[in-house]
Amino acid sequence: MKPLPSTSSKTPVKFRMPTSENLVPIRLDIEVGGQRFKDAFTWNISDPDSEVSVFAKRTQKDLKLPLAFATQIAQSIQTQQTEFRSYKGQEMLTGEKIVPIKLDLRVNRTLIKDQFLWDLNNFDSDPEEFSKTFCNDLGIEDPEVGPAVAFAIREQLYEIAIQSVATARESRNAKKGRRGEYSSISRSTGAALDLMKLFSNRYSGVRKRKEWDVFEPMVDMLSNEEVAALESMVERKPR
Amino acid sequence: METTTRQDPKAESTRPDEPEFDLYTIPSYSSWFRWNDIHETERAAMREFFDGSSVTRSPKIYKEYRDFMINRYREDPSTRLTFTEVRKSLVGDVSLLNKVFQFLNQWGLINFGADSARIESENEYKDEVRVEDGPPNGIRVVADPNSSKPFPASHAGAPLGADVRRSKLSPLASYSDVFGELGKRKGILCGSCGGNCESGRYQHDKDSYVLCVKCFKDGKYGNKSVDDFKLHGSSVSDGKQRDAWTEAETLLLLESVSRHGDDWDIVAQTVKSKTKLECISKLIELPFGEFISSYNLGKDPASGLSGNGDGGKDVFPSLPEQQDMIKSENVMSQQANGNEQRGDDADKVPPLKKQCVSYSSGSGISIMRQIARISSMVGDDITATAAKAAFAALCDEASCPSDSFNNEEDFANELWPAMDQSVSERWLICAEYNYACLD
Repeated sequence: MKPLPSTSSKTPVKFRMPTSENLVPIRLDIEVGGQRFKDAFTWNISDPDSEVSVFAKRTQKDLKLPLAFATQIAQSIQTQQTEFRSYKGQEMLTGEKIVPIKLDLRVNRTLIKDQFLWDLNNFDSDPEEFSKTFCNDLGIEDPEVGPAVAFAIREQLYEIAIQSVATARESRNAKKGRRGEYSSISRSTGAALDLMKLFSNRYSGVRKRKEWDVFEPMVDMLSNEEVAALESMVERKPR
Repeated sequence: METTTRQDPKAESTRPDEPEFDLYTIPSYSSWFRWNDIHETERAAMREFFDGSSVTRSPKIYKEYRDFMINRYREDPSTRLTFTEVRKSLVGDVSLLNKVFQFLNQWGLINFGADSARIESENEYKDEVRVEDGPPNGIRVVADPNSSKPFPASHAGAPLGADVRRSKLSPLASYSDVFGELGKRKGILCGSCGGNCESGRYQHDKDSYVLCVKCFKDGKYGNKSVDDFKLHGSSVSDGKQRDAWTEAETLLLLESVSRHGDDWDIVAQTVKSKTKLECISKLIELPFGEFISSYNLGKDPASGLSGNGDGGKDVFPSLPEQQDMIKSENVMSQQANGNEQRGDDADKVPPLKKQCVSYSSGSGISIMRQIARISSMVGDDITATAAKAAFAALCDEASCPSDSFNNEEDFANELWPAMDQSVSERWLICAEYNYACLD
């Protein structure tokens, strides 16, 4: 098990997903000739065997999409991969970082709203395991919900990781003596909750009862009509 | 699993006027647990709370998490407490909270008496994974790829594609599943002398006790009365007796198949007392039967057969060497000692076996290599199981004391002192094969 970095000093760490597996969230939203294809999944960026072009071709075939989709899918994935890799080697700030993760998603007929805390320093964290427990405990039967939840968590973690790279860069510049950056440093802790406030309830690990609802997951099953209505609403929105 | 009931001290302290205590059950291996303390077990399992690495993780906070979860569970001990239920009430990283939750769960400090509905559903999922052995349905296994005629099946007469014997074994096939049928064909055994009753038997009226004709005549009724026995004429015709394979016939069969491969005319000639068809079906029934023939197709191009080539070779090493081991095995089991395989035994075996021994000595592949090849075909656990089964069977068969085999390591080490345990186990799989031939 990885020893946790000491938090007395804000020691920078090389960029990576703060989870036990370095999986990158990939989102696809491609439109070709009136047909729209949306998807979201995680990709193992360090797996030499996973070929983007093979995956793209297979997806296009399986879903019986027109041929043009294959190249677009491959392109989109590669772009996102490149972006992820561009952060590699850069430093990101660590330090006590417990961030709120919010879930607000719909998967087929299941609507999920949830909120909880995630420790960015915990490199052993596993969104997939969390999501599996989530679905088991709440008796969710739709097998597509689990991966969607895990994906949502990863996406947010990815965003925060990118931000922390930016703030690390800023703080480095600030150390070099640029006065104007002080305000941005204070902003860097914006994503993380003030730790004192975290344990607001008399510095206790137990949350105030009135806040329990906020952090409780809400799972709703929609009827088919509601699903259709929601989907048409999304479609009509200009991109 | 033992359980200890623990009094809940909290109940005692907050409701002093109530005479009764709530009793909660936790497993005995968790009896170290104390409400007012944190035990070494907890400290070791969850170091993050105790190494001072963060202000959000302290012993105090750990204890709060722990106590909250346990109390929450005890509000309704019959219901399984889920992680999702507690995490909303606790401040902190959910992965860490889950770690605490899993710890308590595994030690039975929570959910020990709860219904196991979730466990069952997890097990159901595991059961859906079926391991299938052997060729899939719809595929015919043919001995000679050139001939389109499949092997005739076993006595059951089912089409070969569905009934390649080996494929029907479930993942938990036991020794008797594999070898039981070989034993059954011995026919009905006499309860007194253990011999075959094919020529007629005396059946007890009330239970399944059977005496062969000889024992009946000798008056060996056991503790049963002579009047209770009824004679059953030999229901087996001469034809049936012809069907049973003796040890000598089996060895002949194997030897000739190894020499002549797929040429069943010659094989049947060698095994004089069996027809071509019988030879073929007997060969399939043997656990390694198909491999022998398919191997030999690759081995002997001179006989005009184009074989599976590589496939056959990989599957089974040189048969004659195998037989050599088998025969010497045989002898050893009778003599119950650990001689060197080739040299000594060649002198002691009857002429038939000796002939085989000398035949095989020309082959260049060492036994060690063969053993290694065999063992690479099958998994270690199969090897070990087969070895144990083989020894048990050998001991039974040859009526020799199992002591000489009990210390398997020494026994094998006598022959090959440099061999390590795994290799000696592989050698034992040959013993298993040997038993299969002794029918």
